[in-house]
Amino acid sequence: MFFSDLRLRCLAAWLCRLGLCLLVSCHAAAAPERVVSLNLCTDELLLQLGDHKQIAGLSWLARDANLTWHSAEAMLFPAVRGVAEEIIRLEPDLVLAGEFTTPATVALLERLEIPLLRLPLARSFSEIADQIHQVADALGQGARGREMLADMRLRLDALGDGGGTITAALFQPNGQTATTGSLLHEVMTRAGLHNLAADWPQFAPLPLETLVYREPQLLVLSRHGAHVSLATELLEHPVLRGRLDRIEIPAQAWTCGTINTVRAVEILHGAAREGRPET
Amino acid sequence: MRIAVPPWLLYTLLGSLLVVALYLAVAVGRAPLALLDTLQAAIGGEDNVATLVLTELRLPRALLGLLVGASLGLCGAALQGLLHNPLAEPGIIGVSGCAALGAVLAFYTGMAAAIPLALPAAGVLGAFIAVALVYALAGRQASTLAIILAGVALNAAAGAMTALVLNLAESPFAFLEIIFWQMGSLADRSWAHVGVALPFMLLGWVLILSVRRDLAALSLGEETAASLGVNLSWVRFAVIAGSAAAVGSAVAVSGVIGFVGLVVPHLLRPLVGYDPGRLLPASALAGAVLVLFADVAVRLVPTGVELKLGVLTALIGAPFFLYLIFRLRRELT
Repeated sequence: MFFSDLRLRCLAAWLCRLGLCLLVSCHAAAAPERVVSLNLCTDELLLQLGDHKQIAGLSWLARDANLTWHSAEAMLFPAVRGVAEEIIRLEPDLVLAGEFTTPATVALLERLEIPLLRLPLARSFSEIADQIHQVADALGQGARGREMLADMRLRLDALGDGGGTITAALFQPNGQTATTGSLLHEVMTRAGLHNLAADWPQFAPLPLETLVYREPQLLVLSRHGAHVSLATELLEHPVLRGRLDRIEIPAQAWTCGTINTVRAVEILHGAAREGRPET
Repeated sequence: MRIAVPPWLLYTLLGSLLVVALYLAVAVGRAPLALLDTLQAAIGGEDNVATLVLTELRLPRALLGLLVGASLGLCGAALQGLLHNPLAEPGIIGVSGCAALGAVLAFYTGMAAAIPLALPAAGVLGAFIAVALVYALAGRQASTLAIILAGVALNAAAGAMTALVLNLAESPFAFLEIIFWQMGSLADRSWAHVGVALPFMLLGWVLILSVRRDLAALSLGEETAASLGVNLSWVRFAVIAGSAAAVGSAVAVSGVIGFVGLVVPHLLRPLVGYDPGRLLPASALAGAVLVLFADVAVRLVPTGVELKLGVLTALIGAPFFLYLIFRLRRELT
């Protein structure tokens, strides 16, 4: 009976989380074996921290090479679109979901008492660290998590603590930019850039005129793939050509806040160091 | 009732309005510019942030506004003359919608990036099919009802197809861009857009203006016009192909900006003494003025995402359209 078995396992996991787990064997039994992720960012964390045999399904977005560097690996697992039925069929003993992931499905999973870990979008490196910690624990991969955190801290420390001297602005499709409190702002700051759009209202597009008028020394661009749209055409406007130094950050590095986001800091740090970055 | 004003007065008036509109279009924006100094600097070949904003953003936008507005005004007047119907407007009869469909097909498949002029050419083709269809469906001397119904059908089909293409497009941003194609905007356009649209627009203007006297003769009826030596099939072709070229290329770079071709000729018709020939150049000028003022207004409305131009022209145009229907309702029933 899959259902009662599931209930039992849920109960075990629940007891563990309450801190009642005093026996080592209990912890080992609680490590989930059929984990399903419903969100691109939890997909990445699951692939980075879990064993392949623990993974029962990933979101369909994880297969898009424009969004994540893990796309090839993600092909090895069933893809889910967030419909409750397909998830239940995978008999998960843990579901990872984003804050806003398919609310109806998530509500149903809660009613079926399938263990659920919901993670919001990470908005800083300390939140990324928290999430790595949380997911590693939930997967019973505490050691791997601690290793990753140590690696992340080491790589970030190697870059120093910024001290923004080079002015820069992020320009994404539709004129989206990085404002104070966002992960991308922290990425830029840690790379030693002074973000000229830090004060811009969150989620409001930065008009081309404003961007040009603020005279960033470095224009940081990022896009999801090469598909044609008016949104991405904006990045090629002639007013941005010629005068401004440009650097392109692969969207895969910072679409989700994970260990991969350190790569974005490293690329930007390199560009800031060189003064004249690659175009 | 003839309240025609002398041509020199009308053109002086429209000309000065156009100058004011152009000035505002170049002066108003997000970045504070000392316009005269910047203009001098730009002419002097200086290269700084201010001249960059002026020459790469404001000037192409203003010029495109002028060209698009003139095209819409001119074609509205010409189509109303040809179809002998006051409601024949590129947006209402579905010409703009079909042009947008053509442009969307060329743009999101990557064809526009690969082949120069493919974008406006696709818009022109879409527009041409639409005008030809309306003419075939409704014909000259058609009832207002037939024109409107043809327009409803074409707009519905073109709108649905546009939505379909955008939903199937690979870019994750595409489906939201339906707002641009259906409501139009001149934001962040560049000289490249002016460059690709201009040749088609000029061709369209030349074609239409070349038959402006014939349109005047046509207003007396086809037989009378023929007896006056008007080559009917040529006039028909010139207006249809000319409108397709001008509207199609305008829509391809700025989306559908509705109602300009409806409002402008109606406001001017009494002022030119109901002469369809004289109406054409005046409508072109006034169309440019209207679009430029509307484009200045969208920049002044304090919204996070800039308002689409078609929102404003529809706010002006839709009540006007209702008023016209009210006036024409006897014919409609």
